[in-house]
Amino acid sequence: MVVEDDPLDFGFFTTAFKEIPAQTELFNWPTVEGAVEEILQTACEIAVVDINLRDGSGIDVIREIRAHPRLGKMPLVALSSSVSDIDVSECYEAGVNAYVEKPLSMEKYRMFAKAFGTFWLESAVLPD
Amino acid sequence: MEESVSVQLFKAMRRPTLVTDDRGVILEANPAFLSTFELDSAKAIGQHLTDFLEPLGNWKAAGVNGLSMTYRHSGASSLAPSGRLQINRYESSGNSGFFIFIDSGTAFEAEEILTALSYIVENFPHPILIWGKSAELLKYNDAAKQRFVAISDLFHLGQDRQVLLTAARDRGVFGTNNKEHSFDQVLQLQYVTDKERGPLINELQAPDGTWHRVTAYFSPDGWGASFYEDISELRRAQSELSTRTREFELILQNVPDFVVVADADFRVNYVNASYEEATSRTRDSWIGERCLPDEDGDDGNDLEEMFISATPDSPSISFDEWMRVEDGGRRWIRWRCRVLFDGGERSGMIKIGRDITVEYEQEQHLRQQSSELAKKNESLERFAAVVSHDLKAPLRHIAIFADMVVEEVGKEHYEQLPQFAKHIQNSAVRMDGVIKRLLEYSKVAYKTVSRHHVPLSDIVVQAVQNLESQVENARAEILASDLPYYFGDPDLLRQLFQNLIGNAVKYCRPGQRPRVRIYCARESGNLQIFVEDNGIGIDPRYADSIFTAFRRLHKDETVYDGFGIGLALCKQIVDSHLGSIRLDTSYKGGARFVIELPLKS
Repeated sequence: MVVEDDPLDFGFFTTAFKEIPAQTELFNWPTVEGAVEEILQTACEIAVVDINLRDGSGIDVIREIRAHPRLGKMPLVALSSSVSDIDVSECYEAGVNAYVEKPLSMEKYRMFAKAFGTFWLESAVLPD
Repeated sequence: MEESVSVQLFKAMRRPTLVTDDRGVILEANPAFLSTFELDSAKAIGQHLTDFLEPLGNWKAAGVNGLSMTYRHSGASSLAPSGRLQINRYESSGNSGFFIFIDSGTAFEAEEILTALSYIVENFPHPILIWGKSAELLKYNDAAKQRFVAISDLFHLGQDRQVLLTAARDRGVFGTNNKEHSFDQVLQLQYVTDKERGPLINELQAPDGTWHRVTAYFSPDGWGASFYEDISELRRAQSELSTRTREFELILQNVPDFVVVADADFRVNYVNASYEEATSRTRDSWIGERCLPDEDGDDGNDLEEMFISATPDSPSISFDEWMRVEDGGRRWIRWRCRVLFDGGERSGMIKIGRDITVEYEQEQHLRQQSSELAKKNESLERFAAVVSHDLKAPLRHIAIFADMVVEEVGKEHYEQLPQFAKHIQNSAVRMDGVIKRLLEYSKVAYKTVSRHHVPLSDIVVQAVQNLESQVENARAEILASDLPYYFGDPDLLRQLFQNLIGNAVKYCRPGQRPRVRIYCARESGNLQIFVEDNGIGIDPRYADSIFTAFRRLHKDETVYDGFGIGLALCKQIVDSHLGSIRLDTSYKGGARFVIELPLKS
């Protein structure tokens, strides 16, 4: 699940993830509100959360996921265009597994997708 | 028979007297004896001397010149149980015997007392002169003789008082610098025997510089005594003390601090000039007033109780207090007090106060500045985060679409290029918009607040004038009622109202004429300003985030175009006036903003 309110950014994401060998199904949700319900609905295994959302902060989504009885252990990656110390430390405190700056080129989007696939989808063992 | 003179004398003698023979058998007893022993003469004559009293000694050994010895007796109630008697031997026409003179006990005691007094006077270290009832010198001691050595030729018993004292003055035994009376008056006064007035006391200076206090007392009969006392040390100490006291008083009167001295009941008995001046009250008007603080201290302690329960181990109390001064202003006074104790009992209190208004205000000002600075830093940090995000997002898009253009061209696919170019264009426009708004924000955020007393109604009128075209296009109705003067920055306040009114006019309900009401109220030291509209209102969920909503600068512009920056600016302006702004979520008829601005300072 990609919680991202910028359709262009989600477009780059889709483009990059299509090119990796691992089979992925991407879902998009644009707001803080309803994000958790949508994850439950789609039964996603991993969530990538943009920190700047139109109706609030992605950190709230992260906290909500971590506090949820069924989603608490879900792998979470924070994504943001700003790399401010406060945001980074707040995100890790809220329980993200990684904080990633939004890639600045298509090439880097592809690298991100590839690395993401290799690590989270091939190497890492995910909780049930 | 005519009595001989000697018999008459015998009868008239006031001392009890007996005539006996050689063996002590009483031949005659005079009336004084008979009355003392309550006898008639028949009962006395022929009795033995020892039937009435017991001489303690060999009384028969008395020579012609007499023998004095003590006796005891128990027969006469009016007579002391012991006394003295004097025994003289006589021989007359072949008879011999004794004259026995008995001293009554009282007489004896008086003699003893006189002897003792005489001894005391003679050996007393200070000069004493005793005067007889005819103002003659009756007795003096060695110390007196030395003091009056300058007139030793006149200084002898029997000398007339006036002669003596006048000579003493004229020959400089004492100076004539008595301040209260001239010397003649002193002399005059010493003749006056007035029991009611008590002793005459004068202080005289001798030529050697020493000071002497003369205390004279006279009985109603004119008997008297003058007592001279060297009081040079005392006077030096007194003068030293009074000099110190004057110096001390001078210091107290001239220190800028307030000094208040109170008694054991905390009632004022002294205030210094600084305090008189600060309170515009004279010292006399303060005397007797209770001077405990009637309000609790900053830390909530009952100050009055602290004073009352002070002990010698913890006698000091400090507190700060506002004091009203005459011009209507207030001064901030820091008091340091000490309760005084004498033998464990509270005996008074000293309060010393210092006007710390300037320091206090500086401190307040510093605190205010640092809080302003903290707020500015906080918003700067937010600002930086927003700049980072809002500028980076379109920048990233430009970079990526440029990448994609390169890729597509490489693959010789051209059909998507116009779309990518459009995205690049849009991103650039968005960046431009963000930069413009950031500039607008920084103009307000970093403006130094320059405060004036301004009529808020004029400020609102100016704000509406600046929005003239929007207001006219929307046919908006703006109602501002009873807005007071406020001490604030006119430019910033105008911007505040301009943003709020602008929003209200912009977010009106379709087909409805916008109506904006601006009114105010006072509440606990704050000026509350309400800006209320009949527009589409704001979702209460966003009540907080609308004021910090930079991150929506570029998003949702279709709905909230320009909204975020306007309210963020409003918050910035209100913050810089140390106030607050909030959305009144209870209001349902549109949007109502409540601004609170502090009235003090």
